[in-house]
Amino acid sequence: MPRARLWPEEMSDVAKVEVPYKLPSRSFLERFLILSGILAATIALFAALDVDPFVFFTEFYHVKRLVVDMMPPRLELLFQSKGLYDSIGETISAAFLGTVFGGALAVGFSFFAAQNTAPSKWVRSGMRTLLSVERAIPEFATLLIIISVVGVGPFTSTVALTIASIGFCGRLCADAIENVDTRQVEGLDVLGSSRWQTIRYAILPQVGPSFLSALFYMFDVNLRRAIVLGYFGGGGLGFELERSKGMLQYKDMLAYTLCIVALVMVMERVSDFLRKQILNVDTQLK
Amino acid sequence: MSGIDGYDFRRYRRPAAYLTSLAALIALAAWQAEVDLGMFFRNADKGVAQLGAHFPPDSSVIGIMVKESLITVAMALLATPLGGAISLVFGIAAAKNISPPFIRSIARGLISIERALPEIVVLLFLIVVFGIGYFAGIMALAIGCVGMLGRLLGDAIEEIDKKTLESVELVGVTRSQLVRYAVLPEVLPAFISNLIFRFEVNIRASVVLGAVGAGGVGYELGKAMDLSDYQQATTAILAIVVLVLLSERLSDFLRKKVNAKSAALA
Amino acid sequence: MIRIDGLCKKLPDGRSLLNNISFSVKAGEFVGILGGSGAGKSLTLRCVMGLVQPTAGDIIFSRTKASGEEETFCIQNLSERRLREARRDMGVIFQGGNLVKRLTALENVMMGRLGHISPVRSWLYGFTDQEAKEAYEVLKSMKMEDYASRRVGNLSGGEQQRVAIARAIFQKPALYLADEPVSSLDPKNARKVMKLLKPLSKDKPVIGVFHQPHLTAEFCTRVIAIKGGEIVYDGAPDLDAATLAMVYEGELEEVAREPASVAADASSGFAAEEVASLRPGTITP
Repeated sequence: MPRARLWPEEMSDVAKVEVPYKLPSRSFLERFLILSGILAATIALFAALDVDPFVFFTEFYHVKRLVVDMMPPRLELLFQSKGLYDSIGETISAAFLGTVFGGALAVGFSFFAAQNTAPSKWVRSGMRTLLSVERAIPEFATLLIIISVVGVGPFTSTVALTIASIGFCGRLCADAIENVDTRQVEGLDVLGSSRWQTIRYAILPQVGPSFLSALFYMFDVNLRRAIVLGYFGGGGLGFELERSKGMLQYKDMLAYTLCIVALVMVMERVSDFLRKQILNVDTQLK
Repeated sequence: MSGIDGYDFRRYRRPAAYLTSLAALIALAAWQAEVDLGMFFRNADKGVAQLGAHFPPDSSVIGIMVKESLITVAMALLATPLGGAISLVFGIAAAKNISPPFIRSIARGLISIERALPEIVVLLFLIVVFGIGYFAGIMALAIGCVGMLGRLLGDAIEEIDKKTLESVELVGVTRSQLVRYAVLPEVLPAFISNLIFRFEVNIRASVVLGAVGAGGVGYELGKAMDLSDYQQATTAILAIVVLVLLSERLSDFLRKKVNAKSAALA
Repeated sequence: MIRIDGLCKKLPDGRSLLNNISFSVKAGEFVGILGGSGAGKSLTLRCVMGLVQPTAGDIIFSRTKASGEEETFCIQNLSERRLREARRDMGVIFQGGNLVKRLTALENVMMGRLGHISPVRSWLYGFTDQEAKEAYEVLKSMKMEDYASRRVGNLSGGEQQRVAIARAIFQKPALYLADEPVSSLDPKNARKVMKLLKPLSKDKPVIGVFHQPHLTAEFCTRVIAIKGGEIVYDGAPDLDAATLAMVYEGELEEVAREPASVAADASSGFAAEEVASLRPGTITP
């Protein structure tokens, strides 16, 4: 395409124009080098793991076989067995109790982990470290340790989730406490209130909604975790899934998976609805 | 019923109702989950013995744990960009201002189904297909990204000003050019920030998946617990804690950098 | 050259937004379209751009190809591919520019040429040095060269508008369409932008929608006034007071006093037209 002349000045020779500015688009060479670097790193990582990514294509016929094996899902489970509803109940209960108890403990700990309520700087940093280390311990490790004491079942899940919630929720709550409006706290301090009075009358009213949101978020997380823990022996849907997979009952497995998807989606809606209801009432009272 | 000096006790009615229903729910859940608090007292000695068996950590396996931790990192490193690429496709398909309604609703549906699936369930299916090993773990982690990243990206794209897209479209571009020049520049910084966060999540997730059979330090932990080799298990847990804390720090640092760079006035 | 013949647009419920709009514009003309809010000015332009499908009428747009032969498009019934081709030859300037905020001014200008670049090249390679230099030259002609490497989101409204004009020029179109290019600007910047638009009409037709009769009187070569979806005036740019009063019908004081507020009212294109059409009195049934 011949280049038309540009308006409005005579373009004597565009090529001579110096653009005092690096071109925004990278040159072809740069792009090539970056892409090949990424490619090389990927290949190296695959080689280091001794993984052949092409099994995805060479073994793909297994997918077809699995689909044939698991279709249609054995949805009769929904009508036949009481066991399914029991395991759904166990999963929800473990998540709920883990959230309530873990949340209660976390709220207690969080006052020691927030700088404006902690007795001293050292307590605060010690508690923060403790919470973040606790958060880093995978919940299934906690579960496996508890199993050897309490045995297999939803109760074990409940205890493991309670412990796992402390670190997660404690940090959210401590952050909420640190973000309160300091003027209200100072207002009470000026009146000569004790630490507990300050917490009760200046901090709790402010952090209530954030604590509540943190707890509802925690419940969503815990529901998923409860399913994972079930696989390791914590009862509920995860356990059923593991059992059906172990017995090569793929139709059951798909049915349980569908239940899990439905459960998580529905509970997300429910907890969202409840949270909005409670927070709405809360603002109305004010 | 008004109290002294107009203090209205009715304001406690609603909280009281909440607390009562909460207590009832707790009781119901406790019954369903077979909660037995007495167990703690009956098995107290067993618990103390169990905890004692975990100490001191077995220092002879530190080398193995470090190596296995690196494998976990490698899995997350491979899975995160792969998952990012898949999420990019899903995110673009899920944005109503650039994709047709039919494709958009399919993409949104798949994304929310994925979001509701714990990675472990995806992994179980992949293990059935590809067998136990790193590959199934990497794929499960990558697929696990779609639920979060795809949704965030789709929402970010939908927030782009419609008029901007229209005015670029009026230059006479194809849809792929529109994505490249009007959509990606607007959403890429936030997407990269989310991707880094997802890397942190993937490290945690790959520990859990490892215990199911995907390999890495999680697998070592599961194996040690199975073999009642509790001191070794403690070493594995310590390795995991260090790994997770490090990845957290790294992701915080990188995200701050990306955010600062994207906010900088060019 | 662009010819519009009997353009009509009706809502599904039968209300008419545009009724038998006909005019043609050739090179050398700078046509200003005036009218009250909701009269159908922007809608007419959006029909020309192919964003709105008219109920009836023809929009015939012809350009001279590089090989010298004349090519004619019938905008209202083009396939998506042909519409893209036609749009490559329309330089569109919107109110506020509607640029990609996170890209630099230079990148935004270069985007004008995207239609001529194959998708594969635009993904892999981007623009050439040559194109960057040309784009820089155009920015320079807009006196914007100092802002070339600045993100557009950080520029002021007037500066963004000038970048948008530069993009349209860089596109090398056969026709310029400006949808309220000065509505969101203060009087000083508005005049500046008009001064930049004026010379474009030297060898290409320029059609603009405006809200300020005094600006069209000063810069345009011809004014078309639309009221209630019909053309009520087509001729010399200096409208007399009686005609203006007829066109705006009570809105005139508002226009004269506070151009920005009226403009903001009608700025959001089709949606605003639709909303405006619901107000009693603005549409003649």
